[in-house]
Amino acid sequence: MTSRGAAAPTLAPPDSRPRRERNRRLISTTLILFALTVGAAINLVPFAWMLSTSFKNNAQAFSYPPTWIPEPFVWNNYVDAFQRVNGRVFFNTAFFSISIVVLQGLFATMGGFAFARINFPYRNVIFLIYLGTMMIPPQVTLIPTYIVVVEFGWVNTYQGMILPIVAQAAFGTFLFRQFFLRLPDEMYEAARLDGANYWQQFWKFTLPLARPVITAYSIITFLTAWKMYLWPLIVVRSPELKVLPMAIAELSGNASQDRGVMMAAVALSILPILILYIAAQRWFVEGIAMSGQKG
Amino acid sequence: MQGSITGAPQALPMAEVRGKSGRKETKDWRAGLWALVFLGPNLVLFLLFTAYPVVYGLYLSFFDYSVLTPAVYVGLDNYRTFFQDPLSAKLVGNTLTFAIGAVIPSMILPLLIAVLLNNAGWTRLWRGLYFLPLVTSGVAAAAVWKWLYAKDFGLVNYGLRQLGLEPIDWLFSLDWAMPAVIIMTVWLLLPFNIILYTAGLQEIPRDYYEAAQIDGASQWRQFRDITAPLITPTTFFVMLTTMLGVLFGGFDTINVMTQGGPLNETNILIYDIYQNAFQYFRMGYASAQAYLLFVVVFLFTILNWVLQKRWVHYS
Repeated sequence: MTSRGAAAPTLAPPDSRPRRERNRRLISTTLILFALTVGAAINLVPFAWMLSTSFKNNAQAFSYPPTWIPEPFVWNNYVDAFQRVNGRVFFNTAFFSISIVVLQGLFATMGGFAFARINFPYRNVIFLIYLGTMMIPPQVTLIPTYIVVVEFGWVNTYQGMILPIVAQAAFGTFLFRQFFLRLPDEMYEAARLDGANYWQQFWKFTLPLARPVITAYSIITFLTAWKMYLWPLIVVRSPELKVLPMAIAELSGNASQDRGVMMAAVALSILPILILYIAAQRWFVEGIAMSGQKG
Repeated sequence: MQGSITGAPQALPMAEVRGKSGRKETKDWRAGLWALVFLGPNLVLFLLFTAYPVVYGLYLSFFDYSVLTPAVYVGLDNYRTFFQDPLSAKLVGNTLTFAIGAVIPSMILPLLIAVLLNNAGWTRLWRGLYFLPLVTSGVAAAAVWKWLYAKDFGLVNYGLRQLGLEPIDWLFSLDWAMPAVIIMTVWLLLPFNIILYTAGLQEIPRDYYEAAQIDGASQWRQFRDITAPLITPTTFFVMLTTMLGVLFGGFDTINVMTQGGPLNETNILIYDIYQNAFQYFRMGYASAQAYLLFVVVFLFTILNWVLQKRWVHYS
C-alpha cells in the first residue's frame, strides 16, 4: 500500500487520483448491487416457490427436478383453497384483528393521555408499575389467562379471543404518553381557559394531532393480530371461529392435502396484508422503527 | 411530524418517567376521577388478564389441576418432577440453542443488509423487496418452508445437489432439524431487524463519516470504527426482542414444521408447556414450567442489562 502510494505520483498522469477514486467507487457500487441482488433473490425464493406451487397439480408439486413454471396452470387450486379457508375464516381474522386494533388503540391513547396530561395522585408510581408489566413474558400468563376465560364461560367466543389480547396495551400506552408529552402545554392551557374538559381535550385536538403515530401503531397492531396463532388455537373450539393461521396450520398438517391447494391457501391468507403493505409500506416501516424506541 | 416518530432519540423509559411539571391544574380528587375514566378500561383488563394471572399462575404451579376436576395441592411436586425428568434438560438445552442460534445471525446479517441498503440507490425498490416477508405469519412461512426442506422434492436439497452436495433430510434429521428451524426463523425476522437497524443508522451523525472520508478511511474502516460501535444500542435492542420473540413465537414454527420432533430434537419449552397444558391438561405442571422459564428469562435479561455496559455505546 505504502510503496504503491509512493510510486503513484511519478507514474500516473496528474488526474489519476480522481479517476482511481471513481473506479473504486464504481467497483464498490457494483459489489453492493451484486450482494443486494443475490440477497434479495434468496430472500424471495420462498414467495416465488409458494406462488409457483400454488398453480401446480400434485404430480408437478412432487416432481423432481423441481420446475418453476407450472404446466398446466391449475387456477382451480384457488377455488379449492377458498372452500377450505373460506369467507368465514377471513371474516373471523378480520374481525379479530380490527377489534384488537380499535379497542387496544382507544384504550392505549386514553391511558397515554391520562399519564401525560392529567395530574392525578401517584401518577408516576402507577405508570412505572404499569410499564413494568411489559417485562412479564406472555408464557407466564398464558395458562392462568385461559383459566380466567374458562371461568367467564368465554371459551370459543369472540370476546375470549379478543379481550385478553386487548389487555396487552402497556406498550401502546407508553408510546402515546411519550407523544402527548411533547405536545405544547400552551395548547392545553388555552383549552382549559375555554372550559374544555379532559375528554374534550383528548377527543378534539389530542387525537387528531396524533394521527401519524396512531396510523403507524394501528398498522403494526393489525399485522401482529392477523398473524396470531397460539392464543386463538387455545380459545377457539369450533370451525365457525377459526382464524387464518389455524386454518393454514391444519391444511399444512394434513398429509393427504394437495400441495397446490395448500400453497394457494397460504397465498390467499397473505393477500390482504400484501395489499395493505403495497398501499402503506411507509407506515409498516414507521411502526416497526417506532417500536425500537422502547428499548 | 414524520421525523418525530423515528427521529426521536432512543430514550430509556425510566429516564422519561419524571412527567411534566408538578403544578396542580385541577383539584386532586377531580383529576383522580378523570384519570379513572381514562385508565378504567386498561385497569380492568390489566387486573383480569395480567395482574391476576401472574399471581394465579404461581399458585397453580403448586397444584395438580386438569380444569375438569378440582385442583389438588401437591406442594413442590411439579417443580421436583421437572428437575427429575430427563426430558427437562433437553428442553432447556434446545430452548437455549434455538434462542442463541437465532439471535446471533439476527444481530449481524440484518445490520450488513441495512448498511448495504443505505449505500445503494433505488432505496424504495430494495426496501420493498427486503421487507416483503413482513406480510407472512410464522404459520404461513413454516408451511412453505416445510416443503422447501422436503427431502426428495424440496428446493433446498435441489440446490445442494446442484452444488454437488449430499441432500439432507432436514426436518427428520437429528442433526439438522434444529438448524433448519433456526434458518427459517432468521429469515422470518429479517425484515423487522433490517428496519430497526435502518432506523438506528439514521441516528449516527453524518459528520462522523464525512470526517472519516476526509481522513481517507476506507469503507470497511468506516464500518468498523464508526457504524459498528455506534449502532450497538440497536444491536442490543435487536438481541433482546429477538430472544424474547423467539422464546414465545417459536411455538408457531415448531408446531407447524416439526411438532417438536424428531425425538424431541426441536422440542422447546413453550411448545412443551402448550402440550402439557392444552393437550395433556397438566395445568399445574405446565404452570411450574412457565414460571421456571420466566425466572430464567428474567435472570438472562438482567444479565444482558449488566453486560451491555461493556459493549453498548450510548452517545
